[in-house]
Amino acid sequence: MNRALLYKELRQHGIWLGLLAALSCFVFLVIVFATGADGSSGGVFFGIRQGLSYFLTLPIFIICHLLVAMEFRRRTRLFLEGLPLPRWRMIAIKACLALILATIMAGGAVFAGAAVSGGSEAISPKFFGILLSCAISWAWFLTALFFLISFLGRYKVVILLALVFGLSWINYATAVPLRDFPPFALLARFGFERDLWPVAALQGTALITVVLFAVAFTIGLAKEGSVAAILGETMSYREKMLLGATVAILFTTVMIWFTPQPEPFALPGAVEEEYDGVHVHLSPEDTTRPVDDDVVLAGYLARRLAEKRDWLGIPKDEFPPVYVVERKGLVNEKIDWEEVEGDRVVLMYAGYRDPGFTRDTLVAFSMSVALSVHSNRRVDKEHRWWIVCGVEGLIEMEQADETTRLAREKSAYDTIKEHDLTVEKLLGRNLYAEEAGWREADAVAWMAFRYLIETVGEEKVQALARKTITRRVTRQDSRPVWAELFQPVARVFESTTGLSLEAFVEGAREYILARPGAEAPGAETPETENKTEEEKP
Amino acid sequence: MRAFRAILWKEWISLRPFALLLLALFLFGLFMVQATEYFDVYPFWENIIGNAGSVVGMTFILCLVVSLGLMVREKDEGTLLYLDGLPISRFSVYLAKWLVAVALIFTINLLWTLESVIYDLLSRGSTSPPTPWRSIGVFTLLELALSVYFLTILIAFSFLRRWALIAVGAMFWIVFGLKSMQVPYAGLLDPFTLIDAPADINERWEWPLLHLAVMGVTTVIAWFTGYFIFSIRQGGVSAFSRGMREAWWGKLAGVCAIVLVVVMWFGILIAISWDDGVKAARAEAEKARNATPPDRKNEIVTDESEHFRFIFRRQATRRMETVIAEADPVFDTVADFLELPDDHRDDLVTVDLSSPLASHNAGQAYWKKIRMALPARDKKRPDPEEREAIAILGHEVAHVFIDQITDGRLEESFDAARWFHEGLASYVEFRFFRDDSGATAYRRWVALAAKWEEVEFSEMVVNKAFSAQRDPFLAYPAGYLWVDSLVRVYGDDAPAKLLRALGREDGPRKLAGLALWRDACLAAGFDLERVRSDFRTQLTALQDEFAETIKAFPEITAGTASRRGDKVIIRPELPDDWQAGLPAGAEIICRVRPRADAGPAEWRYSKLGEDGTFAVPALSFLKPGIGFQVGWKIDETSHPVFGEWVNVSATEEAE
Repeated sequence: MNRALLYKELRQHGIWLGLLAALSCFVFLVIVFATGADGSSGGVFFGIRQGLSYFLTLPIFIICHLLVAMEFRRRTRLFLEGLPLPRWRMIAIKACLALILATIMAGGAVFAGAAVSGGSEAISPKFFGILLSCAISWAWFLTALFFLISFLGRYKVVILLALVFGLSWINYATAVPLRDFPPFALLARFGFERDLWPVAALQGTALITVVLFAVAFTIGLAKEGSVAAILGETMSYREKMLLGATVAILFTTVMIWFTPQPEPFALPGAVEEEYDGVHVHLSPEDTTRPVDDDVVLAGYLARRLAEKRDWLGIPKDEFPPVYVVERKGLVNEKIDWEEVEGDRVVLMYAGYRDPGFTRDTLVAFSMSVALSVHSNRRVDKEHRWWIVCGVEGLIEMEQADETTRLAREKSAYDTIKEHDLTVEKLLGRNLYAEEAGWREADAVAWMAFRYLIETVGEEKVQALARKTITRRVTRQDSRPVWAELFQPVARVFESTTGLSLEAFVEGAREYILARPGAEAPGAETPETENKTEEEKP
Repeated sequence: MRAFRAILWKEWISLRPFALLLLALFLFGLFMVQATEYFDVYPFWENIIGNAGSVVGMTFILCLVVSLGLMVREKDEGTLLYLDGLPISRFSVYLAKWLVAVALIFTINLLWTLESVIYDLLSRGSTSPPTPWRSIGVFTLLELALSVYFLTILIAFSFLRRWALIAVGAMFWIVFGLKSMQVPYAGLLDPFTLIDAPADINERWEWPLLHLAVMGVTTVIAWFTGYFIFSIRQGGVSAFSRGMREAWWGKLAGVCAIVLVVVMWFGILIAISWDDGVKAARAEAEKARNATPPDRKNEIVTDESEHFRFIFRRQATRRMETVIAEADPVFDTVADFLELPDDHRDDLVTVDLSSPLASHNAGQAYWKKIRMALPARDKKRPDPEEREAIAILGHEVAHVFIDQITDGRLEESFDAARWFHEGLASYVEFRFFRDDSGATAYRRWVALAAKWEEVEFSEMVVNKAFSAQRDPFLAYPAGYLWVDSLVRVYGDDAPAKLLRALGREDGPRKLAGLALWRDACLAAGFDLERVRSDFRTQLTALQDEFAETIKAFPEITAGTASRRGDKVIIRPELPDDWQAGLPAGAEIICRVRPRADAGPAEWRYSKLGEDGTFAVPALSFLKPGIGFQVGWKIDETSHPVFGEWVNVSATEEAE
């Protein structure tokens, strides 16, 4: 009876099966010759690996479709049901036939590769054995997979698409190394590993293949084959649309909520000081010199930042750790910073041992970057950034000597004289800074905040800062955008300080013009491009 | 007209489920942006025009879904006979179906564009460039043109029923193959490159008229072909199509068609590798054929040393004796330096010197296999000790060991690790297997590049962006110098420690960019910043060391391009006295690319003409937007040092 069943399959699909097998062997032969001649690839077996990965799926899918799916779709199954033979044998013959054809295709590819590359590959029996076992195991896995899928009838395409997109997503968007797991591990080093048998991959693939066949047989035999028959019914247009949309939505939803684990950031060998929950790490460039100064600076930074953090109302456990790397080439108090992907830390580069470098500049800049990190870069939007700059100025100049303050006042005065200050310029800070210079724009922001404190009191300025620049944002989505759209800065400013932005700007302008300041004796004029747009958070 | 309106309405009802699906997709897209983006930091130019490939891909998929059943379903379900009974022509039915499908696809694209324009307006800041309304208009109309093209072509193919996708696939591969072979004008057959925006937002987006014309003609032909097939009455055709589906001759014809497609595809594949591979293979085969039995010089032979299995031509036996004798010490030197674990030292590395290699390629390494060529003999500089081959072997063996020690992890993060792979292999090569001249040439190269501010570590670790902006081959000397810094800061065993850290079993996988190197350095107990600091110090020192040599070579960062006849003329903005200080043997060259993501195979090189311009064949550059890079050969033998890519629009010029 087995022979009769086999004859029936061959009679029914003989042309297709024969041609598919022949065609596949032909394709592999072409691959073998093409890659053998191609100087940019890894040789013949590299080409065969590509063929096994991408091409072999097609003929095996068609073979399984012909042997299984067509039987159920065309209802020829009913004819077979009438024959006096167990159903499992009918399925087993189909499975065996598919496996034999898969073996011919995959094995043929390896034989062709070995025959053609005899000159340029040293093919030992062990190497050949590894190649053959990997290729055939892979082909059997594909057969089992498509054999099962062919039983799923109407859901076949959806499941195939989900498999293709799912695996692609895992491969490209997640940290899961697919190639380390069976059955993919079989092909990971195909053609290049000639000494070690991929035992674990072979065992794993065999297990998966058996499980897939078992599930296929279960579906095929369940309720006298009626489950497979029902699944074999064609889907309506509406069903296809609905199912397609559902899969797409499910798939994308998983993508949205998947967040890779961040790697912990650290600076080995850096000086670390902690004060009231603020961690500051300083990494000197020269490791041979004593680090006493660095310890003092780190301690100072931690204390000042903790103080200002409390003033801004940021909870202790939410304030990011601060890392400062010494970079000697940075002069004129220039400070660089870098984003650490996946980790909420403040990473800055500064020549902090430069004689002209003031530690309050570092404190102020650290706070700016910390606010940027804390808000997941929301405060970087220019209609809020001027507030950060104002607060930064207050911190930087809080303990500055009179000469420095006068010099900064002069800078603000000159800037207003030359570039004026309007509400548009205040909220369009990037352009203002581009035209006047970042240092000059910072000076204006500092003076404007001085004016604000003197006019409405520190408490209101503190409230303004807390409402506008200290919101904690942990993931990139639209929630903070909507919150800011419904609470525009101008409105929050007015409700908190009691001043309209227009009145504030006008008052600040007069305040600055009334304080011409004085040039610091012997001071160099700092470069205006000291902090470029890219360098600022 | 009323009947036509009625049939339009009928089509709308028929496609309503698809319209609902499109609406669901649109709403889902809205949700996606809300869930994953700050939509007020979402400029149109970067997010939509910068991702034109995805937009085109999506349009194609939507067109595919709607068009494959649009016409044939009426025939397959027998409703066409009902339509024939109505007082309207087949032409009206075909036109109505086509119009409704085009309207649907265009509407969804328009909705997406409008959504993105709103985000763009919300993203505007004081320094934002003016909204590129013209470019948005061009983009929208090109999207419409694409929708029309895809729909019309796919409808024409849809009459092939189950063969339709195979035919579309065949078309795709044929166009891909023609493009890969760089057949003139082949790019005009590729609809996926129609939306090719200028590199800069401020540049005027010129209409791709030639491309549109070719696609327009194709569309018209496809439209009438589709209509012709649609208008054929049932009867003989049905019998034929049933025969195609069910009779043995139909199946045979189908299989023959598949065979034909596959043969064509692989024919193209072979033709692509013609220059590098087949020519060489044919030459080898010719040699082998002519070889008389007694000399057998082209016969392939193998030989083994303790660590290598060599495969080479018999004629190279004498040279190979020297190489083989030196090979095991090379293995041991590199293995000791990189601290290759003992269990890996027993495995043989296969070195294939008999297969063809791509031109200008000294060697390639794949896991435990190396493909390399024996360097050609130079009568002026005889190399009896085969030092060049030994150096190449050392370089490739380093690549093999890097992969062994890291268990192939760097392949997973290739974009972040290319510079290190090449840098470490070059370091091994120069330190152990060459005299100082090789390292000096690399140092001079990187010094000049650093003078032009082309070398920045944070850029090197993102290879794709680095290569799009700078010279991709700069990864070799820059990587070499970084590894040198690593050794300077943490000692000779630092590379080995770093490799072990990269390959540690419990380490994170597929890290990208700086994250990979931060993680690996931390795991190795190194401070990445310290190495970066030394790297910067070395760059500065090298600029001082080679100041005299490199001062004569200015970086060229601007210029213009124009088309004149069959040439694209590049006019770089050279300093007035650029020739004054050039040393003897120095040379200026230029290479041009058609797109920012074009690979080296698509670049065209040119030497400076007498009129101070460079000229490349216009056939390779059909779109206005191109990029060029001007480089200097410091002396006759050195590798040219290129500055950054300059993106320009080529204007038309009277001949």
